[in-house]
Amino acid sequence: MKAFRSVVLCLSVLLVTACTCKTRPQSIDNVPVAVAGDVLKDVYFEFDKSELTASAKATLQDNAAWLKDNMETAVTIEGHCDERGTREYNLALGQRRAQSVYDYLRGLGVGEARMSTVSYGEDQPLDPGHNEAAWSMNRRAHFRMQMGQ
Amino acid sequence: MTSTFISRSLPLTLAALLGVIFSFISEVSAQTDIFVRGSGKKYPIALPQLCRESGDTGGNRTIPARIARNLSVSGYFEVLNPNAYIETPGKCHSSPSAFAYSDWSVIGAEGLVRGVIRGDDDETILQLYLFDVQRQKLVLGKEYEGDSSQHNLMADRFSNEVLKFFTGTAGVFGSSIVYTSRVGRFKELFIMDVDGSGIRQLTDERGLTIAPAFHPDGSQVLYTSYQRRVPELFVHDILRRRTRILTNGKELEIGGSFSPDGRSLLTAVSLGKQSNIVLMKVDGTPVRKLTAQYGVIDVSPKWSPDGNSVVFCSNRAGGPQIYVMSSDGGSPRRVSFVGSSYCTSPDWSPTGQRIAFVCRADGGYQLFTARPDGTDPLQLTSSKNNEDPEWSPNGKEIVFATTYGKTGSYNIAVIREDGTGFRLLTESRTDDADPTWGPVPGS
Repeated sequence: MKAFRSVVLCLSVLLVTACTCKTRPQSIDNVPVAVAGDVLKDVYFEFDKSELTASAKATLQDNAAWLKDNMETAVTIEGHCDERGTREYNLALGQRRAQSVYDYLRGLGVGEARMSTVSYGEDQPLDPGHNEAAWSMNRRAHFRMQMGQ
Repeated sequence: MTSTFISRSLPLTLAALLGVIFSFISEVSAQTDIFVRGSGKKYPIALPQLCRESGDTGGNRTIPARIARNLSVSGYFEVLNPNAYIETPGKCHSSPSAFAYSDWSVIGAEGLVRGVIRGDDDETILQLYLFDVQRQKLVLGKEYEGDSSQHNLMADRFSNEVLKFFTGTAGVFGSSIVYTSRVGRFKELFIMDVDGSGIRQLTDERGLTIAPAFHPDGSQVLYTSYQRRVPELFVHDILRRRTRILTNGKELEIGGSFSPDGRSLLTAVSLGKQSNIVLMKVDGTPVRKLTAQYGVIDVSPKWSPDGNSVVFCSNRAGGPQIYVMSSDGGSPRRVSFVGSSYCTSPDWSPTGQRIAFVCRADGGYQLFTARPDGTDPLQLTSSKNNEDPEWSPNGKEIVFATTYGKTGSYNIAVIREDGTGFRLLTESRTDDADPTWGPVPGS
C-alpha cells in the first residue's frame, strides 16, 4: 500500500508539471492574432509615413463616436507596417502611427486613460502577401478592445 | 560542453628535432598577396586521413573531413577527391615531411594538410601540418591537446589557420550565427554553425522574439521580446540556457548592441512619436540619451570597433539614412550617399574601415558598404530583398537575410565584402531573418 501511494503521488506531480508546461498563461497575449478591425475600423498609412490621411481621419471620427457611446471599452492602439524596410525602423514607425491615432482620438475627446499604444512593426501582417495590395493593408493602426474596463 | 583545449604552434625545437623548417611570417604575407590578387582560381588542396599512432577515436578520419568541408565552404579552395590520392590512406612516416611530394604534385595538389593523432577519448594529442607541395615545404604546424569531443574545435581552429596563411585573415570556423525564424505564428531565436549546419532552437517564448545581438564574448545574446506586452530587452545565456529581462516600463526598447568591451549597451527607446538612442549599463539601467530630437526616429545603434563612435539610422532629414556620431552623441554626420531615399540597418566592420547598410534600390532592398566618412560606396546586391547585414568577426564577409532563395521566403546568406562568394546558409519557408554573428572561440 505504501508503494502504491508513492506511485500515485509521483503521477499527480507529473500531471501538475505537464499542466504547467501546457498552459503557459504568460504567452497568451504575447502575440495577438492579426485580424481586421470590426466595430472599430483599421486606419491605413502611406509608405514610411505616420501622418493621418483624410480618409484615416474620417474613420477615426466614426471610431471616436463609437468609443464615446461605449464608455466601458478600453482600447490598445496597435501600429503596424508592411514587410518592406528594416524591422527596427518599422517598429519605431509603427509606434509613431499608433501615437498619431492616439493623439487624434484624444483631440476628439476620447479619454487618455482608455487608450494605450503598442507597435508590432512588420511582424503581424494582416495580409501575408508580398505585393502592393498586401502592403497597403498592412500599413495600419488596429484597435484591440478590452471590454468591461 | 567545455570548449577549452590546449593549442600551440609547434616549437622550433620540435621542428628542428623533426628535421623541418617553419616559414617566417614575412614569407606568409608574400604568398598571401599572390593568392588573393590572382585570377580567383581555387587553390587545389588534399586532406588525407591522419596517421593514427595510437588509440581509435575516429579523429584520423573525421578531423581531415571537417577541415576539408570548412575549406570547401570558404570558397577559396578546391578539395581534391580522396579517391585520386596515391598514398595509402592514413600512412605514417618517420617524420612529418618524410613523404613523397610527387605523390601529391602529380594529382595537382598545391596544398596538403597532414597530421598525426594519438591518445584516447579522454586525451587526444593532435599534430596538424600544412605543406606547400609546389615548393616542397612545411609552412604551418600546430599541436592540439584535448578530449575527443573537441575534435571539431581543433579542426575548426586549424582551418582558420590555413585560411590565415592563404588570405592573410584568419577564418571564422567554430563561430555561430543566431537568427530569428517563425515557429507557427511565433518567432523564436535559433543558432547554427557558420556553414548553416547544426541548427537548434534557443528560445521557446511562444511570442515575438526579434533583433538578436551577440555579446562580444559569445556567451550571451541580447534580444527584444514582447513577453511584457510592449517590446523590452532580454538577455539569453546560451550555455546555461537562461533568460533574464533587462528593461521594463511603457517605453518600447527596440533592438540593441553591446559595446566592444561588453560593459555597456546601446538601444533605441521609443515613446510617443520619437525614438532615441540610449546608453545603458548591461543590466538595463539607463545611463544617458545620446540623441533626443523631438519627433525623430533614431534606431539601430552599433558601436565602432574602437568604441569611440556610433553608427545609427535616423529620419531626421526626412527619409531614414545612416549617420555616425561620437559615442557621447556629438557631431552626427551622414554616411549613406547612394542616391536612395531609404537607408537603414547599419553595422560597423570589425576592422573599422567600412560600414554596411541597406538601401531601397533596384526594385528592392540592397546591401551597400561605405567608408565611415561616407566615401567610396559599394553596392553588394542588386536583386530581390536583402536586409539585416552584420559583419563576420574577421570583417571579410557579411551575413544577411535575403529573399534570393527558391522558397521566396527570407533566408540567411553570406556574401564577401567585395560582393562575391554569395551562399545561402538556410533554405526554409519560415522567414529566417536578423542574423548576428558571434566571435570565433579562443580568438
